[in-house]
Amino acid sequence: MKNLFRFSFGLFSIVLLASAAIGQVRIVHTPPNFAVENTPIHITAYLENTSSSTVQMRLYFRALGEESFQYLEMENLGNEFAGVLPPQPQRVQKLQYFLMAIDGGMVVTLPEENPYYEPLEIQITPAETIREEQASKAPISPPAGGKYLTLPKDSFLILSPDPSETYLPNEVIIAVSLFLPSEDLDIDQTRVEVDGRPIVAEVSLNLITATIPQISPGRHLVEIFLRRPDARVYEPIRWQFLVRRSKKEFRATSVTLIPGIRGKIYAESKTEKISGRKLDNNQLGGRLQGQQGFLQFGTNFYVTSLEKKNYQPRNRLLIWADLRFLKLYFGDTSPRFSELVLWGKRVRGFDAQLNLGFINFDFVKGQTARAIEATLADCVIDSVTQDTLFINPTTGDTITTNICRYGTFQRDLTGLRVSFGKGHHFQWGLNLLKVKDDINSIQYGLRPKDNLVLGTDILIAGVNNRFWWTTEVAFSMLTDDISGGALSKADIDSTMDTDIPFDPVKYEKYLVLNTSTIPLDPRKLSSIAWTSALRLNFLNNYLTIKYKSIGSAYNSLGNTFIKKNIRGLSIYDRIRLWQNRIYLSLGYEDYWDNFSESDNNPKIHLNTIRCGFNFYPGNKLPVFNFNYRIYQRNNGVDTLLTTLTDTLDNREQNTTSEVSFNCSYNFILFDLEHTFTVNFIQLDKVDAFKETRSSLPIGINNRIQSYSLRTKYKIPLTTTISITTNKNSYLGGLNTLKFSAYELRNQYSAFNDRLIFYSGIRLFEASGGGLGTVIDYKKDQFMLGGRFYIARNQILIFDMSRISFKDHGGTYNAQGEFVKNPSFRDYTFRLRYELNL
Amino acid sequence: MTKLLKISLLLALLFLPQLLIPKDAKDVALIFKSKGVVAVKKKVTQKWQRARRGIRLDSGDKIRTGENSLAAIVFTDDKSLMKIRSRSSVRIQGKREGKSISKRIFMALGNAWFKIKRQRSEFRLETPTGVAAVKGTEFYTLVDEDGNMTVFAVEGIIELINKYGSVLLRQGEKGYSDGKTPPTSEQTGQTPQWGHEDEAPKAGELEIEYEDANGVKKTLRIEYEKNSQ
Repeated sequence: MKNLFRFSFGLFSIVLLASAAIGQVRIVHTPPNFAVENTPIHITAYLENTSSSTVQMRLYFRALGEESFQYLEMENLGNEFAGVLPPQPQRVQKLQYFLMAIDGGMVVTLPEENPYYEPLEIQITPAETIREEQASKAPISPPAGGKYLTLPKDSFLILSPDPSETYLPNEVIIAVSLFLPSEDLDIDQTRVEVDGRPIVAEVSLNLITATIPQISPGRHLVEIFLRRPDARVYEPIRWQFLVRRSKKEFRATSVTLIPGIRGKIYAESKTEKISGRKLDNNQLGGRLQGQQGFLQFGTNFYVTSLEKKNYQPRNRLLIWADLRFLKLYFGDTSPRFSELVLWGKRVRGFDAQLNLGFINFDFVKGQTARAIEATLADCVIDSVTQDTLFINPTTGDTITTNICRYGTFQRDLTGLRVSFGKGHHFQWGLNLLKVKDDINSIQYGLRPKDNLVLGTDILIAGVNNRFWWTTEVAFSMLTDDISGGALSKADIDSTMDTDIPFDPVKYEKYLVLNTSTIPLDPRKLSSIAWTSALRLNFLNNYLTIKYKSIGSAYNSLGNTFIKKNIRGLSIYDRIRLWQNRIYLSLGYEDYWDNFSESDNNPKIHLNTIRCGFNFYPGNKLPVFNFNYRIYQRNNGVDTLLTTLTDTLDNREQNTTSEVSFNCSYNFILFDLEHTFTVNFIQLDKVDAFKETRSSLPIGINNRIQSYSLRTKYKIPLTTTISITTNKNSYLGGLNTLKFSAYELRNQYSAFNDRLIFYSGIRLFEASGGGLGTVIDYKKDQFMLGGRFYIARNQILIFDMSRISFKDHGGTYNAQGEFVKNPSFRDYTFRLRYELNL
Repeated sequence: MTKLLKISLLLALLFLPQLLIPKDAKDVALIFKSKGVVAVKKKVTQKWQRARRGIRLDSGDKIRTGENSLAAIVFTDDKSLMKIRSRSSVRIQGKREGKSISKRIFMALGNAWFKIKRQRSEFRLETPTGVAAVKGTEFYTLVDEDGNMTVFAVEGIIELINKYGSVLLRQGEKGYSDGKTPPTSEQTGQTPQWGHEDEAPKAGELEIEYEDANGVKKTLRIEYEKNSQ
């Protein structure tokens, strides 16, 4: 709470100090006396006592009787600001407006006090009134029933502004030479307009001139209306010209703190207590990059207070340089060779890439895990002997030792990729990966590994990448425990009754071979993996066909997320219809899991069919999304396995079906913008053997419904109300869970979105249980946060939440006693500062 | 009667020349840009006044510039341009001939740039030591304190004349007249370049027309600045 108070005081001080700087700067503006109905209203103003080039000025306006103001950004013309209010019908009577200037921490308004409640006003005058005053002026249109007189092209010459030139806002002059006989021109009835607005012009028989002191950047239209003494009207002289901003104004719109460097830096402090456990996390991070000639360089960094030497590193630091053909990465890098070999694994070391197009090299060397010694923490204490106990995970034996947790070996990775072709239309790559644990990096460790992977891949693409085909093959050898070193030829031949043609000890530096090597006999090809994918994008179809076969013994420590022992095909098509308003998706997957049956377990057939329909009709119409998926698992076993001592039920045949529907609709009601969203999800998993299953059933039913309504008000306030309900049953209905969540959120913007507040309440309750468990808890959460733009490139973010978790549920112990779950009062608090360069 | 006739004839003789002499043309030129100290002396008022952007020039008006100054003038009949640089003094004379204006510029001192359109009318630049007759050309001229005149031909042909002779200057040639000897000409690679330096950098505009998801046509307009390199 102390931190919260300190923060609030600091935030208030910032606003107060900013406000203190206001008094010296003033907006100077002369309000127009009136405005003509249905005519744009030009507003100009300038600032006194400031020479800042980064100041912005906004013009807020509303019709008399309206509650909320709209606003527009005024053009900065160097020494003044200009804006144009939209035409108003006469029934509006009055238009109210005020001006606001913003520059960094400065905010100035006109009127200076209470501009929102006491704005300036402009009277809207009927056009007839003005027409009477301007009755002597020439009409814009020819008399009724008449036509424009043709004006010969050589009867006038546009001197300025030239349609093919561009001008600065303060150097525009309207000048047109006339070569009409004096008897053919009534100079008193000549009228000059710019952007539909009449301007004062000096007119003589030979020349029309008008000087415009300042005009906004952009394209403008000039029209000159000439009339003969007999009142017949010539066709207007019309042309356009372009006004551009000055270089000074261009530069004033961009903010540069460090020349040549762009990026983002942030600092964040977070403290939270969840389920009674407190955690503080302070972090500093960012990414910066720059360029000097053809050299590009940059850095990504992340530093956290959670960094501990007895855990894998959480801090990150990467420094990189790009010299067109040569790219260098130092620090925490994530190299990518191919999906089967090395794909995004964090390597702390360096990565050097030489890309010549026809041939490319990528060399990586570093650590994927750092050495962490065994620890005495979390030991199990024998209550009798007070000895620390450790359970050996391999043998299950209890060891009396002072080691409670085995350490982690330093894992070294070396990789080389050589490829031919740029990769846009063709590339053939060769990959080599070596990952080995350093057995000397710690004293107490388990099962240090050694891994070697060889692979090749090919890519062919064409027709603007509408055709894309890639295939990859990889072979691996993994020795699961190198602590004993390599076995000699003699040892292997005698142990395995074979006669290998080489002595593994001689090749130990490439790969340690012993009885833990997987596969022991590579000739069985169980450690081969290959994938092939074809992608076609034609005729509004996006078709993808993939096939993969990952051997049961395939292992790559460069990508540890690959599922092994699986083979099969997937086909997916997405069809665009009706000018991308409708999307149809169809998918089919057919896989065999555990296809090698190397563990004597049956293989499992996985079969999935999915289809989807997405409809985006366009503006002001609801959006629909419908998806259906059916997923089957079948291991082909339909009888129980009976042994001498037991009966095993390893039958597996179940079907999971999932339907989801989503609809979202934007509409206007009571003059407010609303977005209503509905979601339905239904999931059912049915066991084909549920009637005869003696063990726990596996059926699941899940129903989720959610409704939300978001409303935007005339004032900068947005509210969201949402309701979510969920009914679950699993283990064939033996266990149930129901929960409901009610949420109200709102967001309010102030100072023209410089300050955004949000708050919310979430009420959550759950009930259910079964099989010795009771679920009954309520969780109430109050959230509060905000975002403050200190300057255009600096943001201060804070958010906090208070959670009350009341749990009346629990479990029944072996004695039948009900053990209640604990309740908590938790909180989170976060403060973050961002600087964009 | 005879006496009356004589008086009438005498009066006519007095005023006839003035009737025959064309009146000085009005609105011969226009100052469309001025920078620094630029002054105009109207023939009518005979008073120097600070020149502002948009001021009209009649025949007989004078223009002078101070230090670090520039005046850009456009002639109203054909958009011919004249830019007068620092410490220059010029008088404009013009005579309307139908839709054209026959122009005579008297330059006592200074530095000027001209871009003259090809028209039927005459354009003559007169200095204390020479005259440049031009038609459809671009050139620079310098007149020093002694009245010596140097002309740099950028485009077209210029005839440089004094009482001792004349010389034709072509593109890339420089002519010199001191009023004491016939004018001379020579090739030069050092033609002044300041005639366009006050202009706004070339900028371009790119328009992209596209259709949004609802089929509504929209235009995206991008304004960009071209680098001089």
